[in-house]
Amino acid sequence: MGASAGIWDKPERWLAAIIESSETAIMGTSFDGIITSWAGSATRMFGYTAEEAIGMSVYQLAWPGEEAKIPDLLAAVQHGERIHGFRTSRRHKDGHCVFVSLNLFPIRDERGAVVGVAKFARDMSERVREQQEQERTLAELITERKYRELTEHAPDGILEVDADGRIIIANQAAVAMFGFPHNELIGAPVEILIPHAGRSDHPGHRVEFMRIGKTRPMGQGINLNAIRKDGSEFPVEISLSPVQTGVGIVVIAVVRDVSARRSVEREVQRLQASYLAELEARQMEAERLNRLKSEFVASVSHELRTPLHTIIGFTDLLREDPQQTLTVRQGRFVENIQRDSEHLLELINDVLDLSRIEADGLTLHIEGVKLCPVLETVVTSLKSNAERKGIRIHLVCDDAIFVAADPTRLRQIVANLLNNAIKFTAPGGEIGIAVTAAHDFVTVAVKDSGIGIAEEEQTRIFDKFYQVGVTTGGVREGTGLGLAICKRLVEMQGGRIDLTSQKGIGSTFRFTLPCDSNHITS
Amino acid sequence: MSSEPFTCLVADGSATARELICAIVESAGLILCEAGDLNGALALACLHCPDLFIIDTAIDDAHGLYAIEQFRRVTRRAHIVAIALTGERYGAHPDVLRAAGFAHSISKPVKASQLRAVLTELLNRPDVYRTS
Repeated sequence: MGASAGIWDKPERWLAAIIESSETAIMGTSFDGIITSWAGSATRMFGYTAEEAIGMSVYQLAWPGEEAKIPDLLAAVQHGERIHGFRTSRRHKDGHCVFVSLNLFPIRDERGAVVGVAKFARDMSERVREQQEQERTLAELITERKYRELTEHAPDGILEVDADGRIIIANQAAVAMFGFPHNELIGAPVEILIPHAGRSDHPGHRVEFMRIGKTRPMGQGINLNAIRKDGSEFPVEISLSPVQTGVGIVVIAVVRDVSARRSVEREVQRLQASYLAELEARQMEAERLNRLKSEFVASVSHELRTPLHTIIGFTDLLREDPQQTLTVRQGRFVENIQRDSEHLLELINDVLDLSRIEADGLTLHIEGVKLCPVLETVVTSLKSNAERKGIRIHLVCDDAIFVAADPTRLRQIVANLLNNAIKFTAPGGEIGIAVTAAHDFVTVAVKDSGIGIAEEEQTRIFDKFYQVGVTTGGVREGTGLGLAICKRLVEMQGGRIDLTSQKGIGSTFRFTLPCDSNHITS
Repeated sequence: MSSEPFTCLVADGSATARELICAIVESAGLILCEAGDLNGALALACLHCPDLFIIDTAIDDAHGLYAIEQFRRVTRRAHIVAIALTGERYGAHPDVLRAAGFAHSISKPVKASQLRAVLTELLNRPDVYRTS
């Protein structure tokens, strides 16, 4: 009792004992932050002895960035305020961070005036670290949960396989895909999911993959199959990613069941094949029909031409009438029969020619052709027609010009153009045929002084069945095929055909043909 | 040259066409024999050894084009003078007809003046063989 009574008799000792045993750092500072007292757990908390600390500035204790708060705190206390639980960071003498909770009180003198600042600092470091640890753990848990949710709800099967080939994670999609219960998959060798044919080789592939450690993207490795628990196989695509973990390398396998896609692909292939077969059949049918059409046209044309040949021949004989047995009227009738028969024959020949060209049934015999004799032959054969209308034909041609052409078809082209020129030139008019050679091509121009062709009709003049009529004063003979045939024949021989025309003045049709390389014309 | 008239064989599958050709040939003063097919033509050629042949190339499915060699055989002549009648508007290709052994060709429809001109030209040629 005596000792106890002694302590109670000396309250400053009692107070000093309390302060020394306190877990709180007790400090006194001036208003400018100079430490004036250092007691309690201050030395343990901040590493400085009282001798070191007293006289130091509290700013030296502040954790970088926290200094700015100190003046406000000191000023507040100077004005008599009390501050409780102010959380801040201080720097220990050895440099580590100390989280503290500060209580600040004004120190007053006997008259009650504020003369200093009393600070009580409680070490919160452990609590803050615990709190930070909890937050980190929580964040990891959230991440882990998110990862698991993502894995669990992924549309593809996801398996995690350890270095020994044991399945350690399998998501719902993998369970559904392979038909194994989750608990049967976990711990099982991944080879249970490999079809029997490739199962024995798989461990070797697995070890090799682990050794190389390179990600294999989805879609590589064609025609991979997997096997379900019921033994059925299905096509898959697999991506493999090696992941280094705390327990060694694991492989994350993402498995995609491509049965549906393969099925669609097969269906597409089937449809394509079916479509192609149908297309081919239709094409063959079209070709067959086209052949039939050509044969039919050729046959009909032949059958039509044969009697026409004799009609024309006999009327020609009749017109000779050496014994003068026909009356004038009868002679005119015979002439009508012959003229219309010849016209009909022209139509049939045009149809037959075009039919052959369109069916690719026209064979050309290209050779070096001396142009002038061909032109002269055509002019001679049509001269009588021109003379009947009082039309003069002028031919200007260099005898040295050769073209690479089919002589028969060349004759046909020139005859057609010259016939047209005669047809559309008024009596007493003139027709000129001129030949020029330049740049490996020969140009033949047939120029008439006829009625001309309106500009709007010029673009259609080479179309099949197109006849200038409205603008030609009613001259509408022929089939409308002659120029279409000419164009095809010229182009088949490597040339071009065009025209220039002026209504009321005349027309010039020009076609080109390649020079014969064996007779290059300068 | 002998004053004997020339003999001409006309071979055409169409009786009407044949009659036309015959009429023209006859008007030119030649002696005629005519056939509607190649077999008949060969038989007549063997019998009459004509000086001139006028053959429709389309006869017997276009076998007329290749008939010259057969005529040579049956007439035992090395040289046959023949005119081809073709259905082509602008005539058959001259090389083809030349290779087949024809001396001339006429595109149908045959005009009397045209055939007579060809006959005159051919019969005045020294290589036309005359039967004795």
